[in-house]
Amino acid sequence: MKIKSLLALALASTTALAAPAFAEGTIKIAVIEPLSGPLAANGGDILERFQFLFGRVNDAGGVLDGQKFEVIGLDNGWDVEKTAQQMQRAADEGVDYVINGIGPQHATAITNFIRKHNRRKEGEEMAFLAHTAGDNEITPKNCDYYQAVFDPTVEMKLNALILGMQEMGIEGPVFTINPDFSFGQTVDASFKELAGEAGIEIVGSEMIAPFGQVQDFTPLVARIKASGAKVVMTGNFGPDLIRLLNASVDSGLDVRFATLYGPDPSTMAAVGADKFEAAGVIAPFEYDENDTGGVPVLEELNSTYRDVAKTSWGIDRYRMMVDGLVGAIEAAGSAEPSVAMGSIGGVKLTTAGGEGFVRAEDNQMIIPYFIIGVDKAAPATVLYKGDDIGFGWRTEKIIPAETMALEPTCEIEKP
Amino acid sequence: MLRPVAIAAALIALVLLPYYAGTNTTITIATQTLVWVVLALSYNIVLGQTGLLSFCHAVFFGAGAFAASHIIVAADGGSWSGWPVWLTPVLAFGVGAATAFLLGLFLAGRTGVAFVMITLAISQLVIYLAIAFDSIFGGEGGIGIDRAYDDFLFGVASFGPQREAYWLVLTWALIAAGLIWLLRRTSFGMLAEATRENEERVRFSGQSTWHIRLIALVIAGGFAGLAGALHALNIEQVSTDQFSLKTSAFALFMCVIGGARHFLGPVLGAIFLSVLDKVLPDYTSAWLLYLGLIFIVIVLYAPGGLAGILGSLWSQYVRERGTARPRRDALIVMGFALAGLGLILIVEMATSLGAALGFNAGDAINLFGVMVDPKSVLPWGVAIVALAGSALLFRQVRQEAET
Amino acid sequence: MEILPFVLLNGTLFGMLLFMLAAGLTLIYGMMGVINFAHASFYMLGAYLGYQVSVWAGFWAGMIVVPVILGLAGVAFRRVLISRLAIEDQVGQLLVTFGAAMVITEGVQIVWGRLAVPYRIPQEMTGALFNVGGLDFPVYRFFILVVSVLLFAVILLILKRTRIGLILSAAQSKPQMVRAMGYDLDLVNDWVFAAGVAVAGLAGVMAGNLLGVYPVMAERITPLLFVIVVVGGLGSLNGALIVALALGLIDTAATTYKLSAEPLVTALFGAPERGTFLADLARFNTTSFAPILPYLLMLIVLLIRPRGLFGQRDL
Repeated sequence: MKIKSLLALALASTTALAAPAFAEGTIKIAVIEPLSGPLAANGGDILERFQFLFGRVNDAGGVLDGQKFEVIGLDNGWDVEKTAQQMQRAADEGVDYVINGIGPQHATAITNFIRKHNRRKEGEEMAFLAHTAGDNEITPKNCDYYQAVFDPTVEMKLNALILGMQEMGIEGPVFTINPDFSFGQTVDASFKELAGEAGIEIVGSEMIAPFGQVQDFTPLVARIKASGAKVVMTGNFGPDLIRLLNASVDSGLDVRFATLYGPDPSTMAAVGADKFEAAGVIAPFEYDENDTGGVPVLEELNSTYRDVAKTSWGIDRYRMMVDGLVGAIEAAGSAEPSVAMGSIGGVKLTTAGGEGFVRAEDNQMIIPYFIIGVDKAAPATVLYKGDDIGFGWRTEKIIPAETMALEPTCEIEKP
Repeated sequence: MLRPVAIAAALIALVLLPYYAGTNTTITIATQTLVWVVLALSYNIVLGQTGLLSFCHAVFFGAGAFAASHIIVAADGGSWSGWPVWLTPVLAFGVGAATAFLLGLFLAGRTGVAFVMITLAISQLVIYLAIAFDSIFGGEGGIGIDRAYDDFLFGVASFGPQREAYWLVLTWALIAAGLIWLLRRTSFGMLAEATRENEERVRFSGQSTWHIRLIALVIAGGFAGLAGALHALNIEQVSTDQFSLKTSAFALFMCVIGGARHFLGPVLGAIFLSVLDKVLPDYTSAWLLYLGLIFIVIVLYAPGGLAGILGSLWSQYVRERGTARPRRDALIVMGFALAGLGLILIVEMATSLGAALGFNAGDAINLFGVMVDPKSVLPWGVAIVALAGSALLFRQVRQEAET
Repeated sequence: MEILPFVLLNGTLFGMLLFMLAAGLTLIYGMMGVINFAHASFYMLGAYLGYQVSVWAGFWAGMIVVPVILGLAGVAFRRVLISRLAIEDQVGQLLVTFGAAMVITEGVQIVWGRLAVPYRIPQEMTGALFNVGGLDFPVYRFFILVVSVLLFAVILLILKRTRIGLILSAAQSKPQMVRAMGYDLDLVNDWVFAAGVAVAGLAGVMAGNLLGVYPVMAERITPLLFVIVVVGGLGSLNGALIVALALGLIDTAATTYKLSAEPLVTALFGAPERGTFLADLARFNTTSFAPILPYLLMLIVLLIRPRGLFGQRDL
């Protein structure tokens, strides 16, 4: 029965496999995103951008007295349990800052882990920087000293969207369609509340089974038509959004689409410029590369990233996060999370729409926001990994930072 | 004579693991592997012993995990204050078994393809319901727990540090494995295997195959629930992902690759898959492809799984020492090596060239220390030659075996 | 109410699409007794290849070339994977084809990446054919409808009226007899498999630009596929047609006419707070429930009548 001893050996040999990945003396950043599975492309893109951004900081001399950043990617396969395991690995390797954003459930797992870890292991604290706000569980309800969010909350985005619609003269009535899971439910509830306050009429509402389960959207299109809506508000993304837009335009439905995820290169490519334009898609977003507001670093990033990555710089909040972190470290005089996170509140940020900042009460980033619409004749069309999507965006309205800042709903307790 | 010594040595190695493991990550991986061992063993009660292919096993696993999570949340300053966290797996076993009983009323009446389809339908329904009932299952984020909410065992352990969690899981895993091993030796275990082989004959002998299958499902469900509790204790974050087809498929893979007929097959499968799952993704993004291919090869050519292969190698070594066939073995090994080389070359080069990568599309890749440029013809030629060579070698082996 | 014709038309279209997908699977089982978990993977391959060929040579080239390629792939698939297993070893078939489905999914991602590929409707067929109740019915959808109906007619004709069809039917129940008559059973099986897979591939070519082409499309549609063939009765073409149409129409109707549980819950228990069990219960409605109806149906059928509606023998 040699098998049993072989087993013990096998179990023991797994010890040799988890070799540490970081060099000494660097500020350690772990990007925990899906690097395998259906969302691997999105996760991979995010990792590349952060490596690019932190690389630029290092090339310019690093922070403080020449300290450099080191970024690794940890794959969570979009599995909440894997996220928790990768957090364990990050803790083992002495990671200082964890970055994540795809999927609010992972943010929840990360914050759970960090709270327990920081409590159980004083002196080895980790901090969490979220690049996307998906749910109310992160900032609005659960802020923490060791946590900062670099994306407006869902409410702020929807508020901006409604303001933009009003300024653009887009009136209702509105039909809302959202994916039936935590994020979609938040969007749905928030939009209805804000729309009610703004006096926008909602004539229909639907929560659909998410992630590509619904194959045929024509019944939904029929219902939208029957409701008499002129605008469809949707937080859907991926195959759901593709099918919705296709079905709507194919049926000749005369509505405008107010989306949250319209500006996604894959969706744009699959649906195509003509249909996007016919659907009158608008979206609230932090950046439009056709309108950099004259900010030199953005002009530079626009062209550099196209050269280096064959992709347009269309997303800007990662840069804001890196700037925010660097600013906090410089202000605090130390890169240790326990010190630096105390200075992240109040950091000023440069954006294309004006100045933004990180709000000290809840470590929430507040920035001016854009309402963008489809422009087939945009000078800078969206480029993705060498594929030119064929159309770009145009800024319709800019919502100033003060207007974006809704009331904070929690307050950080200093440790 | 050798057997008790081997077992003792294995146990000592397992208990002492946290000391030579090095990092907490490794201990977590080892703990996770133990959880999967229990899951695989429980799955094999249904697959290997009773001969049923189930796609809803994850339901029992998830039920146990969520039950454990709710218990711990209640114990952590709530209505169950004072509950010893280390007893949680027992209750989870009960929940898993109860769930299996309820579902078993629908499942036990069928075998074969009908059984598979019913489990498929059940799994989809459960996933849907779990996602719908946020209040119970925590939605996408799931439920986060803190296993170290108190000091237990007379203040000796809080189970906060990873090594203490490891020992807790190890204890329960050994208990579960021991019980499952005993099960095979009971008359029930033999009856279950008999229904797998020849259902009619069992019925003719007066036994109710329906009852046998139901009991097998309940026991398997119980142990799956126990595994779920161990999982919750280890990771401290449980989500509805646990109910997915992926989890059931994982259990299936572990049992088939490890070998469904041998008791230790699922154990081997769990370790193998754990290594694959943890190590391979760092080296290649196509690791699921390799896993699928290994699975297919095993189903077609080595239905006894890893346990079967090791077993036949062992018996070959012991019994046929005089008639060992070094030439044949060498040919087979070379055949596999060449096939592996060719396959890995093609897959990795295709991955580098393909649309999946961003900055690095088409870059040279590092294979076993050698830089390979997917844009040049040479490596492709090498790959094709290697594959052709391995095909020739295998054909040679088969021809020699026939003569 | 004016939207009813629109709903019926689209429900029928969707049902026919599902039928095209399921036809191959049920025929292969009926003729050869083989259960192929990777059937939807061939549908996916058809969609991806349809996209690729349309990029190089246009949509119509894809319609012709892709089914041929997939037919050949189907033969290779059967010879390499399936023929090594005993005919009765259905669990083995499920296992092997399950692994194959995984390999195909990964392979597709390696070649085409992980995001949806931009497979568009051919230029000639964009635009509306006619207007129903204020909504356009596009030319392309009508085209799919026509092709799928034609396909059904052709398959039925071949099976019932030609000699080949009779031989194929005979090969299912009396393979030795067919061999004794001098027909190469292997070749017969090759043709059946190739045809079944080719039809799935054709469905992919046509539906890909409508429903999207992305790596998880196969695993998303596989459970639905099995519902159709199981409920319709494995081996029965008519059964697959009826169930596919029924599912298409039910899914459409459930999504169009939404019935919600909220009024009932509120009437019985009062308005529920967000985040409670009652709130979850109140959120149930036919639209979000629609994707689940097929599985409920399959469960009921398997428990009451395992041979399905028109199947020849019990599963």
